[in-house]
Amino acid sequence: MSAPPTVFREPGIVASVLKLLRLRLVILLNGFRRAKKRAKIRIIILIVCLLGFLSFLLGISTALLAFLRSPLFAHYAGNTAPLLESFPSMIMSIAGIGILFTSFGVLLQTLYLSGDMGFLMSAPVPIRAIFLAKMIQAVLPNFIILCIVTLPALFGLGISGGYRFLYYPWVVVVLTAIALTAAALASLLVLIVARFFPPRRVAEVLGFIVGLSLFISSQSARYMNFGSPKTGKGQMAGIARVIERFNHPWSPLAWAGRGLIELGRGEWALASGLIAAALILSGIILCAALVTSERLYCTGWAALQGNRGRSKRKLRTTADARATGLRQANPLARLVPTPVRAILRKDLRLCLRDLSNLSGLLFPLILGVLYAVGLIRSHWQMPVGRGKAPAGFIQAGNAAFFYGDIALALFLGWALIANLAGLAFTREGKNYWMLKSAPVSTRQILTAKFLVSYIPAALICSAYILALEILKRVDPYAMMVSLISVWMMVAGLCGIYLAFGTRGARFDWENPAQRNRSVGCLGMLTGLFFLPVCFALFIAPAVLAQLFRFPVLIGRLAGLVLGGVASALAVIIPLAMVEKRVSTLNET
Amino acid sequence: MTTVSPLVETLQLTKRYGDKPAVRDLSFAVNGGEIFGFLGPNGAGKTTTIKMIVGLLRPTAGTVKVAGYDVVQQPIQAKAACGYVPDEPNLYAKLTGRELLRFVGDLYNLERAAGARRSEELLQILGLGEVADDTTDSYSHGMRQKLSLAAALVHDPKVLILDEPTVGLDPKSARLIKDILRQMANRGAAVMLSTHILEIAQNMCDRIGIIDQGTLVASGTMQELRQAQGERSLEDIFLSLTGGVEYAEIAEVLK
Repeated sequence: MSAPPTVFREPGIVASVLKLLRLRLVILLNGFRRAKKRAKIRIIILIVCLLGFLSFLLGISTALLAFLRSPLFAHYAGNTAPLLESFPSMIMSIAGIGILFTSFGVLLQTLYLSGDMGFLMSAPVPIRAIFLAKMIQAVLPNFIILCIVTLPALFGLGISGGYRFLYYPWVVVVLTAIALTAAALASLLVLIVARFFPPRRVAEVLGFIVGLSLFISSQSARYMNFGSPKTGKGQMAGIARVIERFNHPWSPLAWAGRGLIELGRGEWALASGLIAAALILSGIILCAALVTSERLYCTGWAALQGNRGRSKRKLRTTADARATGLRQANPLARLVPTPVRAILRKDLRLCLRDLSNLSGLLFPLILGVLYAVGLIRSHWQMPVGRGKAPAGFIQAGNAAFFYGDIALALFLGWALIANLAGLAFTREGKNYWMLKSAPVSTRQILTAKFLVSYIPAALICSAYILALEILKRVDPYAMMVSLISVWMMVAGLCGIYLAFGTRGARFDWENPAQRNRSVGCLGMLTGLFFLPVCFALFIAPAVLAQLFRFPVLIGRLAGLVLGGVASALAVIIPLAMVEKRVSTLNET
Repeated sequence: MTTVSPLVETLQLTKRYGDKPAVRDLSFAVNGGEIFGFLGPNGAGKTTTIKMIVGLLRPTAGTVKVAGYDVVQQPIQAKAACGYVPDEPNLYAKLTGRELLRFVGDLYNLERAAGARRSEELLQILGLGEVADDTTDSYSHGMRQKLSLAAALVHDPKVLILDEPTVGLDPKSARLIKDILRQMANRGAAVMLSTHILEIAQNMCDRIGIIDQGTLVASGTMQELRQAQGERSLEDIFLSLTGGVEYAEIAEVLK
């Protein structure tokens, strides 16, 4: 029996894009339908809260913009009219640039690193449709966030200025056009970058840079001079000037913003001219970027395999061979069994090569440096403030600030160890079979994981405390005591967090962002309880000796013994408790 | 030289996930010098059995011995005698091929120079010499599979366990792996491999075990299986034992 061959009707681009977007929608809805009741309630509450937040934003924007139009603000900033006219231009510019940058990472992920590309490319769907659907999927979350942030402000401007009705729908149209154009430019950028660098590596580097920048920006706020008496008329005028700069006559984004203002005022001719110019230019850029991106995409995707290999840097390991000779000659190396050394070397290597691991080390370090700068600037003294605090409180604060260097070193150690020890097993991921099937005892694995966490943390904390205490001009003996006590406490914390990390280890993650489980809430609390208690054991005998007029040396030695014993117990007990667990890890 | 002592031995091996049995009372042995093919439909319990043999899973009941060592009681000795190639070659992405083999050599306590020499030999034999200093995230699936085999062979194991070793390999690489396995067996090692490709099992394996729903339903040489089942090809034997005959009838209807 042979049926007549049926001719396959090629689907149109719009129909294909809709089909692909519907697929995403079905996946999203299925996720909601199959979620547990608690999760569903959580999502509904979240949506309601979001709507409430939007209403709040709209209200506050309206009030704020009414204030900007008020004589009081005019007193500080002068004539506010140019400022308010620049406001939509500023928002459009920020939206365009924001979408361009935020979409880059998402587009890189969705165009190159998502698992469905092979499936889609082999289906009888126009490639242009796949590309468009991917672009819309990528830009949609950022666009929604953009709308949540900007629409209340733009609508608030309209309400506070009594703008005409047409202003409101055109705000949405213009914003959408700008977002799509920015996304198309972002995809063009992604495709150009992916032609020269492996997409996965680009994603890693990008994640690292974005994380680092956000982290530094969030922390740098502590050095801003919000409370400065200089804040006032001059500063406000400065801000106004910055906002006005967005209203540049040659900027298409400013045309869109100014067009909206004119539309709101009812200046139809000028408004339609400006908005049409902005939209036509936006359309031209969008089409050109789409066509170019699509061409690059087809060739780029096909060349992906070759691309990866070509740009891979050769990692020569001859230095290792030389180092091996040194290690074998070193009697200390013999104390540590070969498999432990192998795991240690492997983990440290991976830690330095994998940017997601490296960021776990760098972020606490940046935080430590920022806090250290603050401590040095305060001259190890509590900030004076307005001088109304009780004298006892000030004295206690100053005493605490005296030990600020040790406390900061411990904080740095805590942040490092939570990452290093807490994720020591989880970091192995799907490669854990290599350790588990090898003839290495659970004790050796635990020892290696302990050393992998302890050595970097102890080294970084030592360098940190040495630098701080040299600046503080501490005598060498006290410096030595500080160092020893920090080494011991860091060891204890490593033991605790490694034990909790072992219990909560998960190996089924696909990308590093999913390995968020570290030591859990209880683990964190245990660590945070251990540090001050152990710290107190180290310093209390010396303080008591001073108080009861005993030799301080005896007090310090007693502190070292007490703190040392507590630290040793914190290493031995938790690790002994999880030793059996290590042998059954990843067996579910 | 061929050894006839069993190097892999399972006795009433059982594994349950909660109430669900994955492997039930599985008993078989693989002798030194032979290649044992482990066949079964999807979800029959092949990978679970293999994982228990190499010490990745703890049996619910029964015993596994590798090179005479109980895998649960003497895991280090048992693992030291064993090389394992998993079905998915998950390797440390940021290590180079050479570094990975050195790492494995260290885990097995190999003497440094001997380990390095052996690694170089394996990298050259398996055609990975050119990419030995590239990190494994730049390797193709086949290259990772071959590196995984190199890692299993670096300590010259007495027992080699392979889970679907030829999946994703080109014919040349598949042939190379078959030759290596035969050489290993000829040198006295016990080789156990699971596969879906019946042709490989039929042509390569000295003995074959067929597992279905966690139970060993047949075991023996091709000759013994033919005699017991009265079928001509391994495919017929496999389908008659695992209940796949009806699919052939469905396929006939669809023609």
